[in-house]
Amino acid sequence: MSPISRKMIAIIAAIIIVVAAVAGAMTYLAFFNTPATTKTTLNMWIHTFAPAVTLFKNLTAQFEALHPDVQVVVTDTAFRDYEKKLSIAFAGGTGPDCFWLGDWGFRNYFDSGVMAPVNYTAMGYASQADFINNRFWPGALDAFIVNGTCYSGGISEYDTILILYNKASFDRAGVPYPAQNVSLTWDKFAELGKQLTLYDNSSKMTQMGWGFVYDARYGTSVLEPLIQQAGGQIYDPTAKGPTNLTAWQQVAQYAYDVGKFGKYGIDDPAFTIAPNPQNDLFTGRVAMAFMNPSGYASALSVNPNFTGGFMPLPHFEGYPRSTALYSYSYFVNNAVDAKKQELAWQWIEFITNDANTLRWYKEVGFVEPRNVVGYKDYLVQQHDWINLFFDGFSIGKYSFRSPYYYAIVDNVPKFLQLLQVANTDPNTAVNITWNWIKSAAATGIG
Amino acid sequence: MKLQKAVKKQVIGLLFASPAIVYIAVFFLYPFLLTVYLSFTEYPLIAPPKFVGLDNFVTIFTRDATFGDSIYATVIYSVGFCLGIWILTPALSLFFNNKFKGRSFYVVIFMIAAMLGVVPSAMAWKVVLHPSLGIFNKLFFYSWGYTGQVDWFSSVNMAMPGMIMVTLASGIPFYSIYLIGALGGIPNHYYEVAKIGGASLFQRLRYVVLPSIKPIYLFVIVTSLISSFQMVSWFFLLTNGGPVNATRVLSLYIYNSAFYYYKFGYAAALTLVLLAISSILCYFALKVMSK
Repeated sequence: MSPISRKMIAIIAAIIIVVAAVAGAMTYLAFFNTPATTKTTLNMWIHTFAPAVTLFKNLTAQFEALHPDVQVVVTDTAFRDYEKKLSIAFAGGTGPDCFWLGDWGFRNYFDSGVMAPVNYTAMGYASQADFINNRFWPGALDAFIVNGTCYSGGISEYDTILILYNKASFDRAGVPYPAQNVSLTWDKFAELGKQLTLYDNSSKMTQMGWGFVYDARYGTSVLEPLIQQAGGQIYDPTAKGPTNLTAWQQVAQYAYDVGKFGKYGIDDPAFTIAPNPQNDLFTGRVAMAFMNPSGYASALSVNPNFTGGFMPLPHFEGYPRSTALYSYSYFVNNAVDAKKQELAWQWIEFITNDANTLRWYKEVGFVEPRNVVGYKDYLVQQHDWINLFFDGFSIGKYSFRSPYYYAIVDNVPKFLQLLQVANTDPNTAVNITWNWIKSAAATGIG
Repeated sequence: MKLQKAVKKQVIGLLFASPAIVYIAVFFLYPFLLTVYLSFTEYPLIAPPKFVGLDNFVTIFTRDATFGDSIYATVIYSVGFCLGIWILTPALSLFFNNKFKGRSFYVVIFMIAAMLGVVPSAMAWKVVLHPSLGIFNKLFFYSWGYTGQVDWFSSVNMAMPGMIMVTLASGIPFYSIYLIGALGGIPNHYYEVAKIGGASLFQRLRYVVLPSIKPIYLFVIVTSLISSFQMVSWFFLLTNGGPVNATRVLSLYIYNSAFYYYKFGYAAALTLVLLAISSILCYFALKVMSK
């Protein structure tokens, strides 16, 4: 084999240098020849929800018509990837100018310095008090106020948890529909679930009465009210852990009784439901499930023939009622310059003004906690069960605040698995879970 | 002049080695050094790394209640996987080393498990080990009259045995490639001489086969041990550490710490702990087996 000659090496090297130089020059010229834009671009990120995406397109066009020097770009990402994408973007310094986020994620982003305090002047308010007290229902923004400063520009979706039931499932089981405004005790609710569970001739389950949710986020929305009703907390920031062992033991015993080993047990492992059984409810495989206000609209998009009803979240006999409260809110990136922040707050105020509050419900199904004249009456006219949600909003509580929220709540499905899958004694399950939660609060790992 | 020539030779040698040096530096040395640095920081991704000294290591050994569970799961898995590899791989390799009708065909079938990727294999095992519909339970349990429920990946007691079984199913063929090759390299006259000398089957194994394949077998032992500590993808796909942390081995715990909980500093510290543990075990394994 003849060695490559020096001449050949020199020629190859020269070609590489020339190609690299040309490519670099072209890139340089392209960069500087890009015509400068005179418009300010405002980037907003949301998670994908088709009706919301459509409404945003409309609102964007309206806002741009009012502000010809502004271009609003709303980017939607699939729900399950949204927070991951948001975190990575902020880590890389390419976070959006404004964005949606659930209340449970607020503390993590706030502690990292991402959240800008509300500029109520840019939004047209006299003061923060004017903004919070006059615009919103009491307590709606509590989750987003730190040391007296509010970081939420408004709420896009305000939710509480009720029970949605499938009427066809009740008909199949021959069980009369429950009264709409009566909160059952948890034991009566479990008995109802057992009556609604149906089997075929070969003992295979065909319909499940109800089941705990094994998804960490939604599971917490269900489990936290139970523990709060019994007087405890999943996580108390002061105690850096869960509180009230007796409350936990009571809830653990109930969850054990509802699982396959307990007195209300439903035992057919072949009958699997999704971690969040909402779609199984809409199709009739599950008779009752925990649901938020937009649930009915979701049901109809999955099953247009769905007919259902709502009832309040059950309670422990002798204990005060409580339910979950959660919301999606608008935030502004603290890293963008002051002028863009001001623009972002103006955009948020526009999309959440009185006229658009109604549109959010009509076109998307989102309830917003705003003091808009005639809003509540309008909602009641749409659905007779909406009063249940107002009741839920009044007794609901936001989940605990922690930058390690996900690490802590990831122990909720494990707690239920200990009781309902691993047949662990309730007291032992509580002790194990308490250790996990304390560990998660210390390490940030679930 | 001689010195100049020697230096020139060194430089030319370095130039030829430079692609490999750059590769190792970029893909191994830099990540390792970065891991060491991050292990002394709190790095939640959204905010820049913040130096916290030994806090991560202190947390691992004093405040992390689930670290112990992960170590336990890792030990159980490693023992099961490694024993399976160390015993079954040579046994099956010896079997396939014999000449019999259809040997080539059966070797190919045997090797398919090693050739398939982790994702399709894991998906296939999910179906095969389904509690009520899976063929495995039907063949080995229900057809013999067993009336209980064998849950595999959703059972706290069965999830880890299930993981050991599925990873052995692809691990044994993979490591057999080395041993079958090593066995094929043993000259036939070694066996003939031993037979003539009156050696029994066991004696031929002990005095002919084992010494001949010892270097390769040592390689299999060490790499399978290291591999058992690094197993992430199978656990991620089949159980994601559940149920109830029963299969949350340390490597998966590290992965989740970094890419699910965004605790990169803590994950880096856990990585160094895992490195220390596996290094010590490999050292002792080499020391024992090389005797």
